[in-house]
Formats: sequence, C-alpha cells, structure tokens
Amino acid sequence: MNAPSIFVPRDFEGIRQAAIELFEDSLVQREANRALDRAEGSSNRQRLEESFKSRLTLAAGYYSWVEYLMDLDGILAAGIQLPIEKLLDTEIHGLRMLRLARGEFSRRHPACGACGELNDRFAQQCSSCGVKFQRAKAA
Amino acid sequence: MENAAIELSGERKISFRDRTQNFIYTFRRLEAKDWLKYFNSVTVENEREGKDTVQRIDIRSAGIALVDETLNSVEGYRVSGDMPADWKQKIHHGHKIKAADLLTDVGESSAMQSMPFSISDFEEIGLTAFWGVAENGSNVKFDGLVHRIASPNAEQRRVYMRSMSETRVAGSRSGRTIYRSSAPLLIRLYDELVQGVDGYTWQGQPLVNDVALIRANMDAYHKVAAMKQIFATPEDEMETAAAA
Repeated sequence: MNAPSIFVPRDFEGIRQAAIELFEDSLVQREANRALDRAEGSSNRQRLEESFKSRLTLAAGYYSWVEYLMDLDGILAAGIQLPIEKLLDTEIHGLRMLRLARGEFSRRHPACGACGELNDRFAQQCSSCGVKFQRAKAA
Repeated sequence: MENAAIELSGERKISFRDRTQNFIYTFRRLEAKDWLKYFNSVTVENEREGKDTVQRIDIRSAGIALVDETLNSVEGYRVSGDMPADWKQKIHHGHKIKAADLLTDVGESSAMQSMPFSISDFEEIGLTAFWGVAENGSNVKFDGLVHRIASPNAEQRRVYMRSMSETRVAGSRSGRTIYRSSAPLLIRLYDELVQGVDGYTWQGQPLVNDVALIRANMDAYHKVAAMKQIFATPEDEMETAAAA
C-alpha cells in the first residue's frame, strides 16, 4: 500500500518552515562565501567549505513551492495587478505563510544599523562591518 | 523525404529488429486521452539520500500500458495455429518497451538547432519523430516538423511555473517529492497559442494554418514536446558545455 502523501501547497505549516529554512540557508551561504573569499589560497579552505552545510531538512517539493511563492510575491510587490480570481486559495494562504516566515526571520536576524547586514539577534558585533551592538537594558 | 508529411488520421506503424528478425507494430490512432493517461502514469520522484538527491523516473510502466491499450496488430512473430485471444499479454516484454520508446521518440529538429532566435510574435519549434514504416521495413523519420507558437503571456508563464511547483510529498515532510505531469496544462496552452504547423496532414489535407483542425487533431505528445521547448531554458545546454 502506498504511504499517504502530502499536497505541499496545502501544508501551510510546512511551507512556513521551508521558507524560514530557505532564508536561513541563504544567510549561511552568504556568510560562507565571505569566509571562503577571506580564506582564498589558505590550506583550510576545503575544511571551511565542508563546515558550511545546507540546513534544509524538508523534501525538495517544499522549496520549489516556496520559490514559486517568492516569485509571485515579487510580482505583486512590483505593483503588478493580478485579479484575485486568478489566484488559488493555496497561493493566497501560501503568501501569508511566506510573510509570517519573513517576519520571524527578521526577528531572528535584525539588520545592522551601520551597514545593513543581517546578524544573529544575540550577536555582540556585526559579522560584516564589525560594529559593536549595544543592548537595551531592562528597566 | 521532400513534401512528406505525417498523416495524423488512421493507424500508426512502427518497426524494429531483434536478433535478425523484423517486427512491425500497428497502433490505432493515439488520441489525446491515451497520451494523458500515459503522462499521468509516468512517475518522477526525488528523494534525499544522505548528502545526495536521487531522482527516480519510471516511464516504462506507462509505455507498456500505452502499447497494451493501443496496439491493433503485430507482424513478425511465429504463431502456431490461430492468434490467441490474449496475444498482447504474450508479446515479449522488451518489445513493448522498444515500441513505446519509438512512439515517444520526439526530439528537437536538427535543422532548427542552427536557426537563430528571432524577436517576433511567435516562435518556430522544430521536432523530429518516427511515424510510419517504409517499404524496406525501416521506420520513417520526420525531421523539421514545424510548430508556430505565439509567445506565452505573463499569466500563462505564471500558471506554468505554478504547475511545475505543485508537488506531493510521500510519508513525512522529508519524504519523497512526487512531481505531477504538466502535460494537461501544456496541451491546453498549446491549443491557446498555436498559430500553425508544417509537416502534418489530416485526412490528406495539410494542416498549415487551420488552427481549429490543429487543435482537434495534432498528436498530443507533439503538443507537449513543442510546449516544453517553448518553456525550456538554456541552462541545460550551458551545464552540458561546462561539464564537457
């Protein structure tokens, strides 16, 4: 008997998770590229390369759907009008999940006030420009 | 093969050799519903195995089912007495696979590969296909079957991208990704966008610019093959060149 299958566009929690993983992964890749540029010609470059692993944990189908939603989001953000009846409910709810994921990712990775680079919310200094972060003290 | 064209109505023959023997298979006309059933039976899945992603494609089961369903008669087999009623079940398995391979062997025309891309309201797609058997028993290969297709608009492209991105995942969220066939959509888009064809006839009449006749009678596999070229990106060729 075949295992039950999930129709990805209807698995909204899975879509949210996939979107966060894609955002996190692109950040890791960006950091990896910077580190690899710095390590150009160094003997530990290969070890460094291996240490930056993709953190994607879901089936490929989740990421391809999220990438489609990102494209659709880009079309809408550019001000191109799509009649609502042209959109499926899976697209409308998927876009909402994408927005939630983006918000969650932004909270985890606030932008540096000096250079705009995204950092971990607990970071002491910017991973790009090195500026020290000041934390607001609790009253 | 000047002036030769594929006759879309009626039966379709293919031939092949095994050991030293020639076989000719005659199929009834393959209707759109036959091809849709075929495309919907093709399974394309991918799954992560450790660091790698493994893709599994099963077209053979779908091809065998297509042959079983549409084959009218065969020549070249030795039969003692009358042909048994269940003769299709007794045909060599590998022969059915070979027959399905020939029915689905539709590629990009060599003549079109060197044609420059132009900026115009439509694209010309060139296909090759095996269709019919010559007097010497070999398959007739048609090259330069032309489909003139209007450029898809943004909405048609979006709907295609959506269709390519809608998948199912088996078991858990990290399970196998199961891709569904985009053929039904590609056939619909072909019918919306086709402007004309060369190299095909219907009941002896060249289809050329008779869009209604083309929509109604063009082989659905050719519709899908033409539309796949409309949506193809040159990435594959660049990767191949880089790998070579």
